[in-house]
Amino acid sequence: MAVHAGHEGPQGAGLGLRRAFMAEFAADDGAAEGVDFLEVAPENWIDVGGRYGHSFRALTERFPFVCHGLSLSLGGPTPLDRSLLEAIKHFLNSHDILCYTEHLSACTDHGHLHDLMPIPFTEDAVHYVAERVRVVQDVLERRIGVENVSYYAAPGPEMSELDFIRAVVEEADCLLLLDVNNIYVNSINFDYDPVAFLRGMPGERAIYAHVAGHVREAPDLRIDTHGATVIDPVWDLLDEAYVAFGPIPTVLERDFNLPPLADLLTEVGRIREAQSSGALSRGARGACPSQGRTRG
Amino acid sequence: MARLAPFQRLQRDFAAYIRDPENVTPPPGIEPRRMAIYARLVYNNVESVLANVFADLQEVVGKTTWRAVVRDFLRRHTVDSPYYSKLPDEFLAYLATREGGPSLPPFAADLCHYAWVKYALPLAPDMPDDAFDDDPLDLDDPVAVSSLAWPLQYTFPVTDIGPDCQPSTPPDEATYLIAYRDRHDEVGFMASNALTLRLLALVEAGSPLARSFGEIAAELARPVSRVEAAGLAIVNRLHALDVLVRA
Repeated sequence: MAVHAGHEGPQGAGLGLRRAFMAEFAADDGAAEGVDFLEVAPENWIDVGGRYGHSFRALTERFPFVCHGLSLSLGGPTPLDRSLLEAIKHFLNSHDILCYTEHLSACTDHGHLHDLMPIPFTEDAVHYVAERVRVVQDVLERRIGVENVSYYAAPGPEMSELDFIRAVVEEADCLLLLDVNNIYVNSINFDYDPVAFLRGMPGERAIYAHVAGHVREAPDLRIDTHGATVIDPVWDLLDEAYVAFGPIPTVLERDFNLPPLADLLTEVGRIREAQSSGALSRGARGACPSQGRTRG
Repeated sequence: MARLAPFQRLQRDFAAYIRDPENVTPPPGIEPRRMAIYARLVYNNVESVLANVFADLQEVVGKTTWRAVVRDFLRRHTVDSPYYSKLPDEFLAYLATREGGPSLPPFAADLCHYAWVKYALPLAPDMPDDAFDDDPLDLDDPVAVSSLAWPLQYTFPVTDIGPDCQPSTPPDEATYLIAYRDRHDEVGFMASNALTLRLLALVEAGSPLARSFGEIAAELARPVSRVEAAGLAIVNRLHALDVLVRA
């Protein structure tokens, strides 16, 4: 069944909103014109009042927003947090948020650890996570996107990461948040071909994509920090994604070592350029496959 | 917790190591270097918000103790809140309930609570737009304490504590404060006293002003009329600061 993810989500090139940039976005002086939409973690804004709360409300009235959750722990061992889920639902509705995504990971054991831990790639885990995604979709009354996460260790795998991701999204009939940087980081950390991996992803379900910077911990280990400029191999991989799946709406994530907003807007501009040329090359390929962008 | 599936047992062991890498055996078959990354990321993420909010505690106890405390928090405290911004609240709960752990000065809980108020009050959920008004309150008016006005009572003098003031025993007098956020989202702290906080506690418990004054007069063995006159003046000062609102 074809999944037309596009109309449910955002369009164009977006940016992860940090509090440090609220004033600049609020100024409405044209500086933020280059951003088509903004992304926030709902957990960082639910029940936030005061000046930040008011500024946030003013921004959601001006910009299209998407939400990228942090704490639902889709792969965690404790029951889904219904009260968080209801709070997220209320938040999405009250701010007219376009779509909601979460990580294909666990951030809890018996309590919250506030970081992303891997889900073992097993058949049992597929069913477990897919069922939880279904429950979330039922409560939120919308489909959600799940993100392929970066990871540094794979406990007890019984299948490949790609098979795991595919199985979860198919069984849950959910959407995909295609994190291009994470594919690149994982391809180094687990020594695989990022382009082949990317092409194996269920890109037809992609509601939007992520691109970000990371750090080089060791020659064979990268850490997904969102604290640096996007590197060229990741831009190349984003191009590959657009060729393979079309110009998916894409968010630049930047959470640490924040540069001036103008620098991030330059990167957002680069996303938009890639989307245009990706659309062109995809169009060309569609019209005349032999002249399409070469693969690999 | 329900019986864990095999993959969940892997997750449990994985997380157990992250919580306490010095004492827990890393999961088998995973390169220690990679587990160490997780332990470091989780620790740094938790530490960064706690260090930001509880900088005063970190300063008085020093880096070594501070790190030991954060590690103890990670090792032993179950964080129930899904909100990263509530980690400071969880740390207060840890301080209030912990048994053993790295030694902290006797004023640590008070100092941290005061720091938490400064962090949390500006972000607290708003009062309704029409909650505030400027008309003087009378004895018969129903009143309430604003959800953005937090009466505070500390055993230790939290406003004075720092590297050069580290009391080992509490002074005779408690420290009374009212933290408040007004209708313009300005946050203020005012020094207060036991009587004013008693009045706010009565109001918060739903007692009308007249009955609250009567109760205080009885407690003080003073004429009600005098308590009412003085009390109403206080009530209107607090009303002007958006601490007390019309109910």
